[in-house]
Amino acid sequence: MKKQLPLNANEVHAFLRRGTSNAILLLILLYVTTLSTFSVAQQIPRVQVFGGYSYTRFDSPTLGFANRSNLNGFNISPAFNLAYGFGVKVELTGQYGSKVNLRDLTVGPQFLYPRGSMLFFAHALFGDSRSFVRVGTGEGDTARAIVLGGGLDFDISSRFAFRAVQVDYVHTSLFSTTQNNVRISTGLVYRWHTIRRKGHKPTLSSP
Amino acid sequence: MIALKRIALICVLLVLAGLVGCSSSSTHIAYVTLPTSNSIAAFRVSNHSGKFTPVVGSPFAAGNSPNSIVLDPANKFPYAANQTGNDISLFKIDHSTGGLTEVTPRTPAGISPVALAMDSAGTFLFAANVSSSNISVYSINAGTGVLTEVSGSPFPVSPGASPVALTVSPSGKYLYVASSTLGVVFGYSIGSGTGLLQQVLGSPFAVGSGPFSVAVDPTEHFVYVANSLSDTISVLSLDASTGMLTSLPNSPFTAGTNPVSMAIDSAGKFLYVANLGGNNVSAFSLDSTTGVPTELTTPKSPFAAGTRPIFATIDSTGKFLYVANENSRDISGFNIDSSTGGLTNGSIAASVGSAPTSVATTTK
Repeated sequence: MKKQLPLNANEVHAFLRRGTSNAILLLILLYVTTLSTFSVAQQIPRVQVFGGYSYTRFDSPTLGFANRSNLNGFNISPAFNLAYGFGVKVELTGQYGSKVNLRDLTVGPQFLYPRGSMLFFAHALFGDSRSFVRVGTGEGDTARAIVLGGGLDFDISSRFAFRAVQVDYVHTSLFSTTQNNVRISTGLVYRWHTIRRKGHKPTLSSP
Repeated sequence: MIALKRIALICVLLVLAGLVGCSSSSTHIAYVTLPTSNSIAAFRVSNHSGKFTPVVGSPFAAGNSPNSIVLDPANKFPYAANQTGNDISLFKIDHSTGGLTEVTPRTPAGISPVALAMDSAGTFLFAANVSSSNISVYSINAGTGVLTEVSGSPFPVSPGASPVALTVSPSGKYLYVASSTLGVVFGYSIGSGTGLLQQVLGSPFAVGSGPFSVAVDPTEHFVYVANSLSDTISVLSLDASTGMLTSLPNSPFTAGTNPVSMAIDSAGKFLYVANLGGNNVSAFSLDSTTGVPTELTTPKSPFAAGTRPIFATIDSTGKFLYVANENSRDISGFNIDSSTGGLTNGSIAASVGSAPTSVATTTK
């Protein structure tokens, strides 16, 4: 039986209202669905470096704020793919708002699946988050960070890809409380070398 | 390609997921004075659950021994009476974060200001100076919050009166001051536009022993006084035209052990009294006609609080009663049943690290 995803507006709204845990579930579904839907696997880059814009919806009510905070900044993430569909990623992000700054440095595995000119990926990253809050004289804290997310790259050329969207659930434990944040990134990916699946020839040129 | 569209849709959903949660539950802010640490703690409070969330950076530095805190009606400026600093601190609230920033210089007061009161229009601020036995009166600049002492201030109460509590009637016409040493309440008329205090006819008015808290009901018909040493509540009828007080025939009424702080709900139906020696809170229903307080039997009053509850206040939603516990160094939070007046829950809403003495909540 074919798996049904929420496609009408009501279903989508209800689905999203269930919170970030559903975002994680969606990522898993994304990965599973792509694996089950596409039988044609191609090739992936050996090395990727992503750089781009990043937006975080920071869970600042846990710090006593009235509302969540909108943070804007950058996301830089080099990745080295060890095998077809699997690699290691390091991600450095900096997010800035009027009252809160947030920087994360995380590392972990990523999973990739190419389809035509698209490359789907999902990752689970672990590391530290550093925050500075401009309340009173200002307060800073460093704490554990867990990033679960994924996204989609489109080929632009043999070297470049456009990261249409990367969505992450970012769990932090700053100031002795727990924050559940959502981060969205977009930008360009630079790529070197390729790893191809058995029976397929590379199409990306190697330096 | 259908599958691809679905995947693209999922991506869009994920993007939207970042925008979900934009809605925020309504909250207000509670500020708690901590004299022994010369600071003020701040908490974001849920209007729905009453849950306290500490504001990052709290507690915020304040003056020397901030003992009492009040807020202006616009929720822009908290004022704290610094008991050993002999002055008043003005703060500004950052409503987005809940943070406090003190505006200096501090405004001089009398010796040992221990209690503050403000009229409902936010025109004047009154400070009870316990050691100099007088009342400082300040006009408030609505734009900046800056205090200016009015002409004639400080106004003497009576030698040895040691004023420890004061309240302004809802109309803003009268000020009542409790003298713990003399066992009386002084009544003053407040000069409109001038803040000039003049004792009303018949003042002072005898109450019980060790009056430590005074409150006026919202209809401005009755004045309630917590007598901390005689374990009673005095009730006096208020003549709205003169400000004179007349004790009710059966007053004072039996209360808990060492009642020291009172809070009346906005409808004037219920009175809550923190009993310092009883470690609990007594709840009374108020007769709107006679003003007589009757302790609740269903559910049965008193209700357990922390150790040495020293201050009680009803938050801006009217749904929660917060009690500052001196020895257990925390805030008890009670749910108020608006129909019976009964208190439930009573759990620790927040630990504050040092002895709290006063709580003020914003209305938004």
